[in-house]
Amino acid sequence: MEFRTYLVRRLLLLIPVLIGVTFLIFLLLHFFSPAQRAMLYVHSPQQMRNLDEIIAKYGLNAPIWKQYWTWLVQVFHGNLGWSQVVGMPVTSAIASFLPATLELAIFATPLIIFLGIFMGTKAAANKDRFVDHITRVGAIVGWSLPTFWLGLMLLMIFYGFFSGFLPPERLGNAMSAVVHSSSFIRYTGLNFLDGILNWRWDVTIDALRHLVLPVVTLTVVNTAFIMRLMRSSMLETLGKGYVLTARAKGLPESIVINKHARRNAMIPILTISGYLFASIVNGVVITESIFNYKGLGWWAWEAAVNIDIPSLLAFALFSAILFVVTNLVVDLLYVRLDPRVRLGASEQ
Amino acid sequence: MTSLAFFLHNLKKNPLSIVGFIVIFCFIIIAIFAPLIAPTPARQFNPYMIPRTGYAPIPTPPSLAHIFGTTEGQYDIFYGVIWGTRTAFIIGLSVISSILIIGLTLGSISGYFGGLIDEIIMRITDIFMAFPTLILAMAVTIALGPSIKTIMIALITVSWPPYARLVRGDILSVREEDFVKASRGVGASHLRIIVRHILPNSIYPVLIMASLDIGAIVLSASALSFLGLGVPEGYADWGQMISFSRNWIVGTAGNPFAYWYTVAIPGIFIFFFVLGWNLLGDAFRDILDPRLSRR
Amino acid sequence: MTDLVNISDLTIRFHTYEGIVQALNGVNLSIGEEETLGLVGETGSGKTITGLALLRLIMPPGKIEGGSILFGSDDGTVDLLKISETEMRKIRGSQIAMIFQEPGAALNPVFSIGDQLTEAILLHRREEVARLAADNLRRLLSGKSSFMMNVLKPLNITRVKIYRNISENRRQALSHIIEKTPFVRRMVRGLRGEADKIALSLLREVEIPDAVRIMKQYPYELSGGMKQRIVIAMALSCCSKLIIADEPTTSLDVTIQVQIIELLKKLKAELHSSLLYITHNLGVAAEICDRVAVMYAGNICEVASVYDIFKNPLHPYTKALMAAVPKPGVEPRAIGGSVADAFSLPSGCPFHPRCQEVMNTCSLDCPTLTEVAPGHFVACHLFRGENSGISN
Repeated sequence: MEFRTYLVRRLLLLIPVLIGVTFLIFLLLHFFSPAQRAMLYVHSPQQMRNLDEIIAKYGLNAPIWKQYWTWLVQVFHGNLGWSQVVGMPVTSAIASFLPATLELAIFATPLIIFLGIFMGTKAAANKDRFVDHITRVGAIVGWSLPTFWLGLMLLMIFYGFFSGFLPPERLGNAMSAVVHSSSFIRYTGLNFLDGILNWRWDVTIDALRHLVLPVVTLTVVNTAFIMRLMRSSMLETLGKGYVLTARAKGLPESIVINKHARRNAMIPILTISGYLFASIVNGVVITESIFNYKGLGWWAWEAAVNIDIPSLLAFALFSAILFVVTNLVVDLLYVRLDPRVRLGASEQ
Repeated sequence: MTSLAFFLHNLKKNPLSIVGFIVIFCFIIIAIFAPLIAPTPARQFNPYMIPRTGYAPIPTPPSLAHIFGTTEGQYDIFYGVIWGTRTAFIIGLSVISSILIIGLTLGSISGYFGGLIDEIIMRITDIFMAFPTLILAMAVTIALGPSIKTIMIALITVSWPPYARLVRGDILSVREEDFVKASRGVGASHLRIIVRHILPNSIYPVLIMASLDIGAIVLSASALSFLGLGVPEGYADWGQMISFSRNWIVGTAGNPFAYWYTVAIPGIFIFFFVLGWNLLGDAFRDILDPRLSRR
Repeated sequence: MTDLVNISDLTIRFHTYEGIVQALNGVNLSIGEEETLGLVGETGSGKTITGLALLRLIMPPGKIEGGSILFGSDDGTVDLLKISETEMRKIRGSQIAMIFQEPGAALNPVFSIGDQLTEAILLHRREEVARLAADNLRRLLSGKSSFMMNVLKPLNITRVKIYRNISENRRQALSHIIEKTPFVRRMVRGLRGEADKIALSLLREVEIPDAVRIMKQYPYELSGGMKQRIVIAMALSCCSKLIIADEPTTSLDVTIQVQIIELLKKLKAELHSSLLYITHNLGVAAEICDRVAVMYAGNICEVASVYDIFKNPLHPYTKALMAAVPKPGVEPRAIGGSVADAFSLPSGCPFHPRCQEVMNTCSLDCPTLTEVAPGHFVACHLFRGENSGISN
């Protein structure tokens, strides 16, 4: 199947999934009163005073599918509603919280993937030796740790005990003032990057200090998962005929493992990446809420606890889009890694 | 080698699985004998609500009256973690058995009949999988109000898709085998073929996934409770007990670990429970897998 | 004719959880230069292990526990079991090569045929390839040059220098770094180009049509016969002294089998390598081998020229094997009993429980190979007295 056709087809498939996802949540949230649901259609504080008007205007007492359609039309006009929890329109909320989560993800995700693959490979290559046992134990322990508990314990140790060396939230008070001052230009919204671009190293260092614990919390559990998977995948691959062939050619062991075995062993990891993505998103919500790290995850949690429906819907929409896009990227990677897979043929 | 001998031999090969067995066994004992170990105070109707001695916000350290101390709001930690074991088992086992049934049913239908039914069911699983599980669970919990049943329904809702997919995949590969065609040739009904011929062959991977998943389910349940979206306040649940400790992790001035028991103890229980199930799940996989590849 | 390979008293055991498997029990074997030796035996007799032992590719839980393998390498006679791993790797793939049984499993599914063929060439024949690349590039530079070539001239001169360095084994570290770095790598693409040319000639040697297109294809796109030819081509890539063929035709259709055997016969005539042909099929051995060794349960039973072993088999096992082959008009006779259990080999001669001519000593003493006629060796108590135990 031609590449462009494939891409278009996959992007089109986005739509039914998005509709399904949002309708599902819409359905669930329908259990609440019209007043609460009116928030979906509000986009300024003044409007909140006239909820009755809004209820009437958007027919919040009408049947579900009619309401859903109304909401959809709204969305296409760019209005995602008002987020009560943070007191701003949902669209602005997304815009302001996205960089924070992005910062977290930029550090955590590569760590998870590379560390997981690396340790998994090392463990398989040194089966039953010290490295292997440490990795296996580490993996099982890491995977069994509740993310939130790990975060809390880390906070207790490093913040309480080491008197605030690795603190929660995004920035300390001093640096926060700097970042919000007029002389600081926001290029990317990512604190550590902006610090460099503004030639203020103290901002960058402060941002990084605040990032350490959340990143560690997020990484530990997910790396453990990848490590175990990679190890078993590698062990299976190392038993295959072409590994013997590679050795028989006289190739050094490192090339046999890193070139021949690993590439084949990574294929199942791709398969699992959907699950990994879900795990990371969950982890982000929990981690951000524990460390009071104001990103999208924190916002989602606040929205859930305070029953802020527009925010929840928007978050669901956002993560669904992300999920489908990730799947697309994964499928493309599949084609690149495994020549047996042809575009459009991977229906796993 | 007989099956039992093989099983024991594998156990020996993997000492960690013995640890898993022992840990879970201990938890089972705790759960069964909970009323004896931590008796419910007289006149308290629901044993799952943790008894409170007062309403003071500051947690009290372990003492004779409260073996593990109390959380903020004076909930007895010992009682909470003992009865929390029961909660964990109830949630874990109920959810797993439900998703096994749902997954097997939908997966078999989808895989066996193929065509439009397959497409529809697969799109539905896609939609459910596109959700970050926590958010969907949160939404269900919000919609249905806090209670243990809500957590179970929420977790069932988010966890069934992988099972349906796994079963479907297995059935797709087994469906074209000759023995299935032979059965059809003899005139066996669809249900009979599915139940008696296909499922026994495809069930092992599903069982393996289930045993590995119990730990994850309990983790998700405790996460939901921790976030305040699960059980009602005061319910004996490990996650909720940790949520009570959030404000106390920085301790007092000069002693950051003053309230360690509020966060450490329930956490240790969760950790070992999940660890035990993970080790067991690993053991099952090691035992069942060689049989799979030896076929 | 001098011996290229001399295996003495090779013992290999596998330490599995279910027990210790005696895979090879004091095996003595020799392969002469430019000779084709057939190694015949049932599944489980230890013939594949022997082949792997020659490449020292016995992986745990297998362990080589005794004996020596003398090999006439480029640097003189060495004991393959005693040299370092680095030296062994220089021999693997270049001086000793292997053709595997299952071509589908032997090829890596994620790399193209060209990638896999050129791998051994670039590893073992690096200097030669670099020299060719240098010569080629120089010729290009000294001839008519287009505008583009004039612009790139300084770059190309550096490239020639690099190739020269590689071919004369100077500045190794630097050239390795260049080959690994992403963009700079393009400078040495000539190496791959020359290796490709060699690979193409190999593909033509093994009679693969449309070789240029095949180079870019992946293993899953090819048939079993084609894949086996490619595996053969890989084994030939470095003009090895010894080629080990482990049942190369077993997994192929009969019609393809014939083709492969004919191909091997042709190659045998052209190359000056020795060939160790491992098989369970006596007929195939007869087609292609000069000498044949028969193996049972980790022991060599009989070794003789192919003519002698078919005309005059001496060992009871060999005779039983011959009788088991269906011939028109003759009822084939199965060998009674079952193959010796590898975990608990019978005492003494491993074949004695199934032997038609078993004697008392057979369960006590394991017989050693003795020469009962010129070039004809048997390990059997029936022939003990003929020559006072000249064990090989």
